[in-house]
Amino acid sequence: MSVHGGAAVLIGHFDEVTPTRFATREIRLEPDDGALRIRMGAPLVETLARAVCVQFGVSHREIDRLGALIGASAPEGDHEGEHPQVGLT
Amino acid sequence: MTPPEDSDSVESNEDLAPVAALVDHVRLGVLPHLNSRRDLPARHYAAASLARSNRLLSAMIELRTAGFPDAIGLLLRSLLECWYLGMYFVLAPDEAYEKTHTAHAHQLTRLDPAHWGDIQRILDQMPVDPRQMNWKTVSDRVATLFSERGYTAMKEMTDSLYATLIKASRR
Repeated sequence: MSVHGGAAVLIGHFDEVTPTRFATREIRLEPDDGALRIRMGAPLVETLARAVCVQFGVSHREIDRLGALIGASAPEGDHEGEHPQVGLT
Repeated sequence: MTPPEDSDSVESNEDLAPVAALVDHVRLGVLPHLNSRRDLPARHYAAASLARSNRLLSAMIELRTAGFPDAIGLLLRSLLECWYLGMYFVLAPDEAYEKTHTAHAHQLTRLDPAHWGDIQRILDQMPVDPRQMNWKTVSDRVATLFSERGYTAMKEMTDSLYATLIKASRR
């Protein structure tokens, strides 16, 4: 998941590697179709949106609802339901 | 732009419908309500961070739909950096404002040293050493702020994201 143009990224474009030749893949090999990284990004927007809504006095009810659907609003831990309070303390 | 023909087939975005709904809600239901007085710039930086983060998440969905899964990671890294700053502005507004501005000024001096002249003189005049700020220090600071407020899960998430998306990419 490197973001640099380093060797690891470039090797992802190698294809049909044999003792005598390389071919080139147009699309780098990825562990999935991108959904995993989108699911990693969603909680970031969700938690920041909730915190900003608290700061600005805007309702975050819909964000809470969508966060529950995404499965990100209550990460495993000892502070279930803590996110809505970020920014208040 | 036409997706490459040999792109791996992309499943429907239906499974990401709640994520897309979140993006739309932030765009239409939250951002239009975020207005600040001019004497509250720090909290507005948090709002701007949310706008940027939401835009990046939207672009990630579009890239997947268009058959560019190998470009999504670039945006995720940027999204994480935006989230760090946004949370920093939420949790410690004055501190975040001072540090990000001095770091920004430092970047400007690096971009055009011929114009700025004696860079060291400029750095010496700054209230905070901008070179102290990098993604490791920002991540650590945000994690500490979460921890100080008792948000243990958020602290752990911050540490985990740094290890996964930033530290790992340097290997």
